[in-house]
Amino acid sequence: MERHEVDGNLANESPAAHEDWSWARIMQAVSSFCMSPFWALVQRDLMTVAHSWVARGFLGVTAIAGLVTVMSRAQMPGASAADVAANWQITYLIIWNIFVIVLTAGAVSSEAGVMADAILSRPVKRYHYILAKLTARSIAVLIIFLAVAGPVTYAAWRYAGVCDIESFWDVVVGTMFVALALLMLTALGVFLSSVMRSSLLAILSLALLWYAAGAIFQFLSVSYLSPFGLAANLPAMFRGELDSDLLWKTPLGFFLPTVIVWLGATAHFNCKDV
Amino acid sequence: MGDDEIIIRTRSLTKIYGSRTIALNGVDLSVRRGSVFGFLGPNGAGKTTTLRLILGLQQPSAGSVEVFGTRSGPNTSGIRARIGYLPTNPEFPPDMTPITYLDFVGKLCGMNREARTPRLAGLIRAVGLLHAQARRVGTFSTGMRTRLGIAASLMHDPELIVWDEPCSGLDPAGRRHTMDLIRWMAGAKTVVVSSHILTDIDQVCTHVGVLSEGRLIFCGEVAEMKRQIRIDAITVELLASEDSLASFVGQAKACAWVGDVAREGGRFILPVTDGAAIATALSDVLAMTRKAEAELISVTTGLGRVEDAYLQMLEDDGAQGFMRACGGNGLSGGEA
Repeated sequence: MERHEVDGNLANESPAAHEDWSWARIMQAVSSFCMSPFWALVQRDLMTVAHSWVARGFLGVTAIAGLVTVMSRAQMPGASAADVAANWQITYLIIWNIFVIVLTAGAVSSEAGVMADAILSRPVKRYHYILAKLTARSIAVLIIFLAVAGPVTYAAWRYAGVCDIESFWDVVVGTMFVALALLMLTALGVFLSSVMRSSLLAILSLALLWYAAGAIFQFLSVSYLSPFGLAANLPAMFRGELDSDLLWKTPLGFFLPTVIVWLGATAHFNCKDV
Repeated sequence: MGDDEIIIRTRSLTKIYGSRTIALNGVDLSVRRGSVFGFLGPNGAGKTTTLRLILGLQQPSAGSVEVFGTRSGPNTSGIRARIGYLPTNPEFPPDMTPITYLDFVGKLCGMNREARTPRLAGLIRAVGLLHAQARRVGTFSTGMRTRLGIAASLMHDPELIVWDEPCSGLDPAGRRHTMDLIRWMAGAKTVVVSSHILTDIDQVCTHVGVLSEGRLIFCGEVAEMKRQIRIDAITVELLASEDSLASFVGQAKACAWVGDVAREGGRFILPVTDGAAIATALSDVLAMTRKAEAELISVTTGLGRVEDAYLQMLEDDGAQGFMRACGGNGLSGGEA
């Protein structure tokens, strides 16, 4: 009898009702995420970045410099599309990364005054705050980078004399590697800003770490993991000529330290007095 | 007193900053549900540190803090969801307006838009920031920031209010409104308030804790604190001729309960001795004033003023500091 009722209940549940139920559950999950402190903190930090002159300057300067450089290099006789596109991304890793450093290494220390009074004294868990900072700054850096990388790479492909970019995916993969390197830089920046009280000290330390990484990784025989190593491999990557080993070692080499830094930043911030 | 009546309990709470500064030293504190608890103490006594430990913004070096029966810590957001905190001279994100900040606080508290919007509008009106609703918080004066802080602390209608120097930077009208608000909340909510303004504590608090150099030297009812004053005195201010004032002094000296009379112009301090009842002493003072044909400007009793009790406690604590450090064994260690 009991079995029959159970079967009956199952029989009465129409596929449409089941679909509605799932949809309601999804909407409920989305709604509760949107109302979570984590999302509120991410939104607020993205707004702060959007209103900051560093971020606006970063976007403006890299966009103008990128287009001018690429267009002028592409006009040169025999210019290779892969070299022109890769060169711009190399300058992003070596020169324009200073914007990423400034944007991230002051993320926590710059709001030390308001952090306890205005944010952490509310119903916010410590890891909500630091993960929101890491997430928001990573999103901001990615948006700013990709917003310029897309048009600049297209311009290189379209106007360069020699089009040696065989596959769209080679460019996407190369660009993603650069993005991963920038995400690692972002994570390091936010971590240092949570450890150091002075934003200036955090900026200087991060810059030193970033540029010294080349020498350290060279010494450890893993130069492809350093920003300069990645820069050297980028033209070959865009042409689809990269060693297959490096295709998985390079992203893993940037991804793993990023995850470790995220975990370290969360653990450190959890036991910090504010 | 049942344990469920206790909202905040600290046990041997100690905080040492970086092995350099002892901010709190073995504080045992209990705050009852529905009470208005006043925190008193001079600058650097450890009031703000205690409040920040209660909120879990800092972690104790030793001892524990329990709020609503749960140990407070950096990730106990459930506790903070039931607390409305106002820091001293609060700082807020300078690029936000009162509306955007309170909306942000509402989001952090998990309130939906339907609940947030009318609540923040009502609070901005209540704290008198309507005229500044579109201004950036970075341009606010200290008093305006305190008002915004009060609004933020009430955004999610918390059970426990923790206000650190709520009258800091407020004009007299703002201060009065704040005191009225505490009186209005008394009973319905538990309020913990720290203040340097002793008359404020006297007016609104049912219980009081006195901190001195990181130690809690008194914790109990305000009435009990007042009873602990050892020397009672009546201060009388008279307007009269010199002969009348001399007559008043003569009568006072003849009274059995009056100790050594101190005089500053027309103002007299009459120490009450021999355990005389204050009511009897006051009655005698009024009779002496009439007899001396003097005009009474004011009369105040030393008994019953939190300020006197507080200063007396700090003085006693300073005097007994060494004995206390020796574990109450007098000078046995030092003089041997």
